Amino acid sequence: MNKIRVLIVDDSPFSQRLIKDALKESKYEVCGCAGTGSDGIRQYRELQPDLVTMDLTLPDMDGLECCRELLTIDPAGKIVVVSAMKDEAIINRGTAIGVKAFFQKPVKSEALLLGFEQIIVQQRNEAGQLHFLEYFIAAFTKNIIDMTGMDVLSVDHSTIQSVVSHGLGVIIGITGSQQGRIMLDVSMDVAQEFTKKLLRTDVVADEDVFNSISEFTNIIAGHSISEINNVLKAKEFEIRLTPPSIIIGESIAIINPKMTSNTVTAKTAIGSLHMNVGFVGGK
Amino acid sequence: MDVKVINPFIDAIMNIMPQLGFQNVVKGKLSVGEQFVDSKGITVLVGLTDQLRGNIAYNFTEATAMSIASKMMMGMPVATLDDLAQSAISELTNMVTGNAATRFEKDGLRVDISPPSLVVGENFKLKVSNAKFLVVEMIADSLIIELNIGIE
Repeated sequence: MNKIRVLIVDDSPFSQRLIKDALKESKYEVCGCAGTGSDGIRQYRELQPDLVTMDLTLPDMDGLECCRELLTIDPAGKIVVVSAMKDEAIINRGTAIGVKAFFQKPVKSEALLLGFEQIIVQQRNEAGQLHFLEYFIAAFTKNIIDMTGMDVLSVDHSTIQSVVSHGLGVIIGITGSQQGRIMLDVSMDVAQEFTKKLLRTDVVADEDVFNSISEFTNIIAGHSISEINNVLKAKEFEIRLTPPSIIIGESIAIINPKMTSNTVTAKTAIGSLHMNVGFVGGK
Repeated sequence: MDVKVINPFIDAIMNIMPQLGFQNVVKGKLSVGEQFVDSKGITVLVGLTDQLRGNIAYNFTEATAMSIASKMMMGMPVATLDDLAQSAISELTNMVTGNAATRFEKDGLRVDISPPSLVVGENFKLKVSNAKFLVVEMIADSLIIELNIGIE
């Protein structure tokens, strides 16, 4: 396996040495050392490291300023601060810029390795979860078309923290190797019209609407998860679904404190359907 | 649905609430619900799957949810159900459901739980099961938590 490459930006040869020692015999390798901010930026462009450790006091610029410049070049850059100073103001300013973690000198090997590991795992999860969303979008649009015969006129997609329901929401929990939930949300009018299309009838009772929208959500979730489980293959990575629950009411907020979610809105001739998919530990 | 499924949830609340600083935790009314759970204002949904499948809706009034959140945060005043309080309440239901799941497992039933969804609003109702569901009130220092348990 290729080693994960680390660039050290620190003007003290002693500190560079300590960080190198901390990463010795690990899956990380130090690919470069820079003693100034401008040299750090030059080496970052040239080496494209996976991780950067940044000192805060550099001879030519402020370390956080250097972080900001690196993240302007590469917004996905993974930078940690390793500095003698570690106070709340530094952490808040650094976090706002996009610094991933903060370590105080002299940095301990275990702390640095654990911090790096968390950043790598988080990155892998985000990539995986974003990739999962594609399966949900595919199942969502395919089943609208297949089950109702209607066209999907457009598909929009946005990242949001909290969801406000339009009238009828169906929630299905996701558990197993990934934790999250899928929610289908429609206005009561759209729910009724959609159910008429699903059942190919002109009159539907409320009970039909609840059952149909709930089963429609279950089908989308089932298809998506089956595809994802096929990709994940190993049994220990399997994802499972909990049964649907239904929320009825307008302007109801659905909040999952630890979740980052994406809302996908599909426009059809009878109105919009909203699917929200969220996973714990994203972002 | 076997009425015995409520016992692990009751035991879980009896076990968890004192750890969070509640002194007197007792079981209140037990009843059977049909069709819908009427929300008291704050309802947290947690799904169950594997050998036991269903949904639990934890039902609180806003005032109760704020009092519980305040207690969980060691007496910090909670004037609105802000992010921190929401997170505390959802963590409470996660702890209780997780604890109940462990109890089911000891009885030979594997149960996997979903992350909690906190549902907040006025005049809404929920369906946790296609059939009847069990309703049990738990009272912790005079605060009422209503558990609605729908198992397939």
